[in-house]
Amino acid sequence: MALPTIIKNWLVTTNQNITGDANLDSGGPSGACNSARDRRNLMLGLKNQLITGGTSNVGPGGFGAVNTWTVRYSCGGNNGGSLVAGTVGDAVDRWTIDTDIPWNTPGNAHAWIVLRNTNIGTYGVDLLIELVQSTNTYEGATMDVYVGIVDASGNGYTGGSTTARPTAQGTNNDEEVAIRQDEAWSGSNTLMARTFHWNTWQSEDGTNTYIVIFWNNICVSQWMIGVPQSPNSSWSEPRFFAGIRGLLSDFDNACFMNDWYDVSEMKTWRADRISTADSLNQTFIYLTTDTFAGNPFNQVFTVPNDISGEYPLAVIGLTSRSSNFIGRQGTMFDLYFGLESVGGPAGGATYPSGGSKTWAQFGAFVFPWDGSTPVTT
Amino acid sequence: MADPTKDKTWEYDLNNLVIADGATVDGAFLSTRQRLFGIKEILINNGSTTFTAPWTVVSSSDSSTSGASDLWVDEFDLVWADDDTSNARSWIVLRQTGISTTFEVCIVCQEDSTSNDGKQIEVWVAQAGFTGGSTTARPTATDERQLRDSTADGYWGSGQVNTAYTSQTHVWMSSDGDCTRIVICIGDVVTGYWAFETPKNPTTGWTDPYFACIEGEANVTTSQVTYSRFLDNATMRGRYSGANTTMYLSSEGMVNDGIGEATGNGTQQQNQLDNSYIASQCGLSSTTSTFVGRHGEVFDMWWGLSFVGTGRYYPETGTKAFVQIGDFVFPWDGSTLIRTR
Repeated sequence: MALPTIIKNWLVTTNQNITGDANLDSGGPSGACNSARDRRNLMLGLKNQLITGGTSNVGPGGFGAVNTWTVRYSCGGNNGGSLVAGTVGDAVDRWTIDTDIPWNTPGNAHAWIVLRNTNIGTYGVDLLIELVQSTNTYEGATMDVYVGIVDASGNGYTGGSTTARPTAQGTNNDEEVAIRQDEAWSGSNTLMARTFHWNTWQSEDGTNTYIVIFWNNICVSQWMIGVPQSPNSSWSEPRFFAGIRGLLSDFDNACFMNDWYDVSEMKTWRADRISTADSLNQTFIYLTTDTFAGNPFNQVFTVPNDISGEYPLAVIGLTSRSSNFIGRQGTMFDLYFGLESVGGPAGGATYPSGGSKTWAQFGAFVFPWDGSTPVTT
Repeated sequence: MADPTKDKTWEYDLNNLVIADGATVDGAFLSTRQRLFGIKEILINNGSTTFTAPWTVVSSSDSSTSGASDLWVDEFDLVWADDDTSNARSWIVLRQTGISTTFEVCIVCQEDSTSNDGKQIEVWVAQAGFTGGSTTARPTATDERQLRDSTADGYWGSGQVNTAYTSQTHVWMSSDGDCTRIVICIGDVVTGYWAFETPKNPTTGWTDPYFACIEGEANVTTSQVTYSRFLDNATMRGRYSGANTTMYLSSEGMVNDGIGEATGNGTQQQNQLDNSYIASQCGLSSTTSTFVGRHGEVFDMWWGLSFVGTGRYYPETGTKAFVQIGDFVFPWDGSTLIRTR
């Protein structure tokens, strides 16, 4: 097939990196080693990217100002101070330097931040990143992330302290989706200096955000939050998907088919879903694609099309088997599946391979690209 | 997905009954002869429908005579011979110019043993034109591709049973001749599925593209249009650059199964937001050496939800513009699908 046309305008930030810190970190609450500082700096970098947009325009053109995430409120050291939990709506970003954002175990002082996106759904969603983990031995290896629903009055997450995260709306504080709960997002808990690379995509209209993070040529984390393309018209607002994949491993990639096609890692929130799995109204979604011979096409094929010489790219569907939401309910904007065999474990192949490099592949996913050479290690 | 829009203008000859003629070996043989003869008649516009682009007879044999005419005048002109003998046999070559100038199918009344009279055939397709042929030997073509082999898989929709069954034959033909589909049903079971088609959006460079199949089994209880048959196995056949190819009919899916597969990891239920039942367009993908890749789609054919089964219309009332038969969803003319066994 010919290369697909990019639908949205994107602000793309490519090949960002945090250089691993070889020094011991005495600033963390656990006295953890350097990898904790690397992860804090990575988290700061991602947060800054989400609230500032990106560096390269990619898309059909007519670029304007990007609609970024905004800080709703936060808990952090605010440039070297003691932890302070803000009040809802104060819009103060207290995440400035690495020592502002310590991880900790539940009930102990730790950082969190609530970012708002008013371009998703009717009233928007809040993204809550909470730097909490079940054990402090390896600070920063796991965390919690939630997406909360904003109501007509602009209410989303509320409350929160230096020791407890904000709570969602709803009678049972249940108007949220748990994206990560004490789960990995930046590789294993092995103590070592880590140089991370990452790329972010934010649609100019603010609806869609994608992030991929690499360490040592391994995609240690992939984030996808956004609205579906061609959603089922009966999918009630807020129509969105949100998923973060990461593994507590330094050898497994988070951007391959088994992470999204074989498991329903993507989620959304449905008011009419009464979950039996937990107290949340979250609903699970698979990423679907062309399938035959007992596998997705991009695992069956390991070489380009024999006739055309082209590498196949396939639309990514959103299909659920969760109660009250069963069926194919939409597709992903400007995101395709490519051959898993292309470009090594984490990818880095571009389409076309030279010249404009309009698309770049990381793992199984093919993203809009700004023409630069992808760096994954 | 919502009910789709059709790419082609479809013409139909549906619900063609072959009535069981007693539960005897002779009755079963008569039924199979009538069934195969009936298919030929429908394809060349001797059925109840006048197709815009019918097939034409190029040549034939009734076992007594062979030549460039239609010698299959009635079912008794279909005479079978064992494949390991030089006995006289019937055959026919039909042409469909909608697929390519000389796209032809050669049907040979040939079985692996006398006990399989009528139950097995040998079928070949070619685009270079079949030539030759006599009462004892079929015509051949330089680029022929075998669809049915009487020594291995000659069953074509009548099973291997010595009991006569009442069956229905349904024939679809696109008005441009690009696509011909034949379904043979005994009750709700699709015992035979035939297809001779041009793909939609074929890969550029695939000259005179086509795909074809004839599926049937010894029993009359196993559906021939299933995810297992076409999604998990490369059942469609074709040619590329002088070599034989096989193709899968792919579907959108997850966890290694089609979305509509009820026995695997499919959704196992209609879409709960819009109540739609059609799962996915049928794609054409191949792993044949030198032909690896996705090479197009099937015009106006979709994977359905397999738990639904044969006989569901979409929409369920009114136009009935589509019907599910087995795991496939076909265009439909709004009539009622006869499901008598």
